[in-house]
Amino acid sequence: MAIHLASPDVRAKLEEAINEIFHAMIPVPFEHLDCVNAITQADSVEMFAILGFTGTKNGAFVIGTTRRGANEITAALLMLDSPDAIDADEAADAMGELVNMIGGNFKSYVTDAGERMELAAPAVVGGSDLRTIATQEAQDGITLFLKSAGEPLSLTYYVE
Amino acid sequence: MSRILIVDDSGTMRKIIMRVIRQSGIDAEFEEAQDGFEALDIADSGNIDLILSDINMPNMNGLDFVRQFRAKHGPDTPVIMITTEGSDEVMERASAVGADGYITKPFTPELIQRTLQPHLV
Repeated sequence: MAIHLASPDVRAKLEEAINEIFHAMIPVPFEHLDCVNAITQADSVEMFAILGFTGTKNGAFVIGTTRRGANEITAALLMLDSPDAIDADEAADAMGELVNMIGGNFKSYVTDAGERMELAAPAVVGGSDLRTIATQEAQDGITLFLKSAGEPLSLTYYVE
Repeated sequence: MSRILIVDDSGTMRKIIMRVIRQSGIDAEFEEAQDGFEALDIADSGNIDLILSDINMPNMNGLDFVRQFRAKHGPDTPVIMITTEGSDEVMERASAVGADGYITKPFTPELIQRTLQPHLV
């Protein structure tokens, strides 16, 4: 059974992955805002965490957020009182782990559907336009928009 | 107090794991390694009660580490794999090289306590 990006199941599985991770490990207020079938990102994004994959399909999971948003998530993961003490390396490391957990969680859905998916190591980059980061072969994608600790957060899943 | 070796290439994830273990109520002190090579060096020093190892790491991954650790140190020290991928295939590979259990990320203090405590008697 092939997975189609337009399927409601894809959105539901991505939301499920985010919900599980935030409830288990990131105790900050968060809410789902919107979802579009496009490769895009939340406004004001300052950093991206990217987890590429190969297999039946090639593509990537990409989280975009602000530096403040990354600090808030990192502080919550580490149970620190203030996000102000988080340095750039720690924030990048934490965002890499976040996209890694999302990809690992979603992989179960993909493999259960009979497709192969091999995850790469996560990478974190600064930037403001996901279209400059996504490969030119990226054809189809879905982006979820959220608010985490009051900061914009987006999750894009795209395939080539 | 138990002495636990945390093997993960992410320094932040090592901190998170240590924080959650403490939060779970397990009384432990920690050693840290960022890949299998470092972990083998630390394991050689002895006195490790339990190892928690990631699977996907550069230089030497978790499965190769466990295979080499078991070959050198035998079956006595429990090794729990900690991974983002909860597929049967990954778990079978971990079991085949000598891992005693696994934890899938994300994890809670309750899951950590439930998985680790039986190995820390």
